[in-house]
This record gives sequence, structure tokens and C-alpha cells, in this order.
Amino acid sequence: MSPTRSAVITGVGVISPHGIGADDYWKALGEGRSALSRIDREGCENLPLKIAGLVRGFDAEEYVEPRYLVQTDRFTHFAMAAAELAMSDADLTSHPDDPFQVAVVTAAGSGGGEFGQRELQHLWAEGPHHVGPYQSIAWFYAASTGQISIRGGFKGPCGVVASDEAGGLDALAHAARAVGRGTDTVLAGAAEAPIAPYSMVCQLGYPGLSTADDPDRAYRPFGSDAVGFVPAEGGAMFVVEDAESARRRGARTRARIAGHTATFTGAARWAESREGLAHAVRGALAEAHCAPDEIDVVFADALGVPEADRAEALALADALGDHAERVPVTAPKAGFGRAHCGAPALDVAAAVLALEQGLIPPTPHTEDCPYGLDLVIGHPRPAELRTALVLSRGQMGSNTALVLRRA
Amino acid sequence: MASEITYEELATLIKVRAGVQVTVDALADPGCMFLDLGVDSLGVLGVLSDLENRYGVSIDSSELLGRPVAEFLQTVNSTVKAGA
Repeated sequence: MSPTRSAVITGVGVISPHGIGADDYWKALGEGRSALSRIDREGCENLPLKIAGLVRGFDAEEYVEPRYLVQTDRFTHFAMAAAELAMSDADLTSHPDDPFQVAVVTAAGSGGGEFGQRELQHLWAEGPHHVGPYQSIAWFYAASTGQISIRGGFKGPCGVVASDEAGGLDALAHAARAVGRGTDTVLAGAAEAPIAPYSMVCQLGYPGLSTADDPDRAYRPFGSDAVGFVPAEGGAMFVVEDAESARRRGARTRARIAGHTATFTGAARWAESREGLAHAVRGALAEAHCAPDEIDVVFADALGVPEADRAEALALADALGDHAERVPVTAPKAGFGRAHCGAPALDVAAAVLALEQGLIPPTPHTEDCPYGLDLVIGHPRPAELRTALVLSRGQMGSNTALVLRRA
Repeated sequence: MASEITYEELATLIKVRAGVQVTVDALADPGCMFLDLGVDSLGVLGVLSDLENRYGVSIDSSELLGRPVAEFLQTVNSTVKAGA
């Protein structure tokens, strides 16, 4: 990243099982509420996956014009709505004076599963001539970046990160690099909609997936009774801007993206993820010129698979030393599930809000932590927060650390 | 026996297949292009395949993409008439 241009977050847009918009999301996080529930959607009843975090009450037409709705899957509806909310938060509008100064970077792992399933059903029931042409773009990982950029008239260096769940953090790093190279504004983040029959079947092979049928027990990361993770839908988009341009236009700076590193250690190799995650943390701290004891809160990956939880705790000890025992660690996603690439994006939204509010939201459901971490459970914890570390690991082996500084 | 496809019918199809609300007057304007209405080539293909399925005809889309709406409808109607 350029030493003279630093990337700041000036807008936050959230679509989550806790509600639409950052305010509802933050309120639920602060109260330690749970949004996990039985999956009650048509065609999903007989699958072994029972519990998830569902986005309810999302009216796509409220945020997205009909011509984009017919072309796109629910995951893109989420991304477009989150982008709209982030832009409104940052007081930015579509069709900027210089379209080449605005870019879009998103991450996605699941793609347009619901749309794709519908078209595949047309294929089998009626034949190839009944598959709609928009199938060619709606399923695609790149759909959200494409549609957000087309809709807003953004012609800067757009991109799509296909790097597993941790891509939700990598997208922000790409955005920060684009800012460093001269682009003033980047819409960045991730959203997913993996709770439909076809998409759910695709996830059944994940060894860490929790098939428990009690919403209170299905996802208890770091707990001694952890049984895996549950998926979620939703995500977050951010307006990432050059700090100086943001200051000039009088934008409210909400946090600074200070450091990032990504590593890879192989699919579901949780013991090996310790080394990869520790390396990612050290790299992100170095880029942020941040000493381990400057980290005031950790938003953990928190997979809920005991071997993975242990590896994450050990990675923190490897990278932060003694500070790993003292720094508060939290996993608010325990209350609404893992939205794949959207999960770390939602964690970044939580971290930005925590830095602003001086409050660490708790880890719902989990009742204990046998890994020597100061896990925030039960109640939110007020704290003076200047620097947050956000961690993410993917089912396929990516490990990413991102350091955020208070504005 | 297939009847003539009207601008009203086309407007309804465009709404369903491409998500774009258009008036019959706009469609009937001789110079009207799909792209000007906000209907991209995939949207036109969706409208076309719907008509093909409905009337059991096959129409070469390469001849039609990028043509004015009036010409599109004329070609579709003459093909449907010939095929019926």
C-alpha cells in the first residue's frame, strides 16, 4: 500500500440474520441475542442440516430495481442492498463525476445457488430451451461486483476475490491496495445466500458442519461442548476511501484499514491452520506497525470445531505472546451463524461499531472456554478500544488476519 | 392458429423476462431500441426464447440482436405466421 495514501472505512452496510442495516445488527450484538433457528424453507425440511441464521423480512424490491432483480440471485440482492446502505451511510451517490475513481471488490464462495437451482429445474422438467439466459451470469461469483458496478456506473479497478471464506477480509485488503494505487473510493465486502436446497446440499460435505437440531446448542465456538458450525446468509459492504479524499469531502471516517495478511494451509487441516493463522496475524501487525499488546480486541474466526478452536487459540498465543491470555476475544457470529465470505465482512462491521462504541459484544450460546482465552461471554464488555484484530479461516484452507484502527 | 403478437403482449413479456416496465407507445416508436429501454441482450434473448416456446417456432437470434423493436416484432410475427 502506498505510504502516502491510507484507506479508511466511511460507510457500513449490513444485511444479517439480526436485521437489515447496521443499527439493528449492532443492537442485537450488544444484547447478545441469538438469531439462530430451524430452517423452515420449502425443500429444506428433509436435509440433515437443521439450524442456520436466516435473513428474514428482507424485501429485495425495497433496495433493488426490478431489472436487476430478475437478473440476479438472492446473494447479489443482499450485496446490492448492503452496497446501497453503505453508500447512503457514507453520503455517496451513484454515477459519480469521475466514474473511474470508484471501484467495486466483492468476495463470494457460494454463488447464486437458489437461482441456479430454479433454472436447473426448468432444464430437467421442460428442456434446455426453458433455461433463462440470465442463468449465465446470476450463479457466478462475480455477479455482485458486476451488478453493483453497472448499477452505480462505477468504472474503477473492479475485482472479485475467490479465496474461500477469508475472501471477505481479502476483498477489503484489495480495496485498500486500490486506494493506495490511486483510486479514491472502493465499495468492498461480501454477501452470501447459501440457505436453499441445492446450496445446502453443497455444504453437507463440510466435516465441521453442525447437524444439531437445537438452536441453542448447534454452534458454540470455543465451548467445551462445541459440535461444529452452522451456516448463515447475509453479509456486509463498506465504502473504503482514501483518507485524504474522505477528509476533503467532509466524510465521517469510521475506521482505518491498517494491516492484512493471507495464508493457505489446506482444506480442513485445522491443526496446520495454527501456523498459517499465526503467520497471517504477524504479517497484519507488521503492516499496521502494531505491537501485539496494542490489540484491544480479537474478533475470532471461531469455527466451533474443537480442533480448529484449539488451533486458533494457539495461533493467537504464537503471534501475540502473553498478550493472547489478556486480550478480550469475541465471536458474535455464534449468535447468527457463518455466512461464509459474508462472515468476516459482518465481523468487520461489528469491529468498526465496537471501536466506535467502546463496547465488545459477547459470544452468544457459548458457556465456557477451555483454551486459555479471555472469551467475552454472557454480557457485552465496555472497553477503551483503539485497535481490533479480525480473523477468518475458510473450509478450503485460507487464513486471513486484518487489523483495524479507530479513526 | 397463432394470432399476431401485439406490442401489449411484448410489453408484458419484457416486464416478466427482463424486469423492465415499458409503455406500448415507447415500444411502438419506429426507432425504439431495446438497449434504450434498459433491456440488455440477455433480456432480449429471454423474451425471444419465451416466444419461441410459446409458439413452437425457432428464430435465429443473431439476426435480431441489436435490431429495432419494430423489426424484432415483425420478424417474430412473420416467422410465427409461416410456422403456423
